[in-house]
Amino acid sequence: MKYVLFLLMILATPLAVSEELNFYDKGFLNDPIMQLDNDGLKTALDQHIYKVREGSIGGFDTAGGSCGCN
Amino acid sequence: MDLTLPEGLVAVIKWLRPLLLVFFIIGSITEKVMAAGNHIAYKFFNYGDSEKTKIFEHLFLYTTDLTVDSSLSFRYGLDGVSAPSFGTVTAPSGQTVDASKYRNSAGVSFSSRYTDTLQGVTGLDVSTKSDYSSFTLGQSLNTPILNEFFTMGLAAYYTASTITPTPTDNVLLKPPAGDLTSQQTNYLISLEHILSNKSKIKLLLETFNINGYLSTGYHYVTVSSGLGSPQSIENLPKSRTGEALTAVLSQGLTDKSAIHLRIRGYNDTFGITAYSGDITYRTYIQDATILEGVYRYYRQNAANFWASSFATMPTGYYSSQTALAPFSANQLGLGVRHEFIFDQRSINFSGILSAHFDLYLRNDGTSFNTFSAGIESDF
Repeated sequence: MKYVLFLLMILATPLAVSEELNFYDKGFLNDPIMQLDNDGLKTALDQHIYKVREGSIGGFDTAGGSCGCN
Repeated sequence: MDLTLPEGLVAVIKWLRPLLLVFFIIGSITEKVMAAGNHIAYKFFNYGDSEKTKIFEHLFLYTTDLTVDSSLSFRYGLDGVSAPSFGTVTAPSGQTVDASKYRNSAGVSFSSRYTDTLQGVTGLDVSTKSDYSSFTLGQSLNTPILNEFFTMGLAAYYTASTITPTPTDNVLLKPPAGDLTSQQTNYLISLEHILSNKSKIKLLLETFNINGYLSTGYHYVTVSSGLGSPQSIENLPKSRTGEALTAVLSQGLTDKSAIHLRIRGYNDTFGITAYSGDITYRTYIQDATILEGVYRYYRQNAANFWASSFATMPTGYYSSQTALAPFSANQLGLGVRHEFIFDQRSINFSGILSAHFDLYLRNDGTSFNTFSAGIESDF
């Protein structure tokens, strides 16, 4: 059921586009205030703590060996 | 006059020396031969909790451009633990808990734009301390699909860990002998869609599987009808599978402020179902200074085999780890980030100063706080 919900959300997102965008319109999206995890080292440290203090794992984007910060 | 350096400082110098040499050589070559850019970052992290556990960590990151489309990163970390308790339980009398003062970790990763649209990161990470070691090998890829406003990410990681618990004379709390190993694989798929010039949404699904010895070798359970003291090391299943589904909405409010909403659902074969939601607000308080406020709520039920204590000696799987207990938690965070430019006497570089404080409160009365501060620079 969860996977079905996920697929539905994926399919629904293109429908949510409200306006035509040009390449130069994307500047604000690259601003640091628009990057949720804009500090890789801190994100890795936070996930270390969550891993020890909470019973759930993952779902925090691409942390792990690939970022060199496991 | 005592000129002996503190043990921690000696350890830092000892481990940094060869790394700094490597950084210097690579940085010199790439800067002079290839006119490449370099990036360095340092982060200090401090943790303290209501069980009087204290942890500090120093992290160093160095990234250098290899080509226009690729870079190489090195990371080194040193952390130290001062713990009257280990994890979240008080060390039972007579048991030798983790006595390791320091842990070293290091990572190297290669980032590249393979084609005009395909980007990837390959990473290897190693962590060691006296009774624990692990390495992680990972690969992630990102590429636009459908159009340039729709990006898909794929990632896979493999981690192998080995625990060699410190021997103890306490027969009841003696961890299994020898090296205890586990293997973990993680797979992630993400989709990010730009909705407008001020908003985007990201969906992420992560699944994982762990096999092997999943405990730390130190967490114990108490049998209430027994002696009133810890009577056995916990016994966890030898396999765990789970998945987490996350959605993030990032919305610009004005040209100087934005809000991020993230919700996450999780369940696994331990029987844990968890939900979390967080909201992050960021705003420029000056041209180069960003203030950030974070609120996070987390809730989970207990693992199938969890109990705070057991009436009789349990059979099968059993644990009293507070991380596997039912609880909810609230977290508040405040951070600041300042970008600066140094340009004096022909020396010029830009950088970022940052600091963040978090307070985490569980509904069972336990709590922890973290503080981090760092500096990073491009040169």
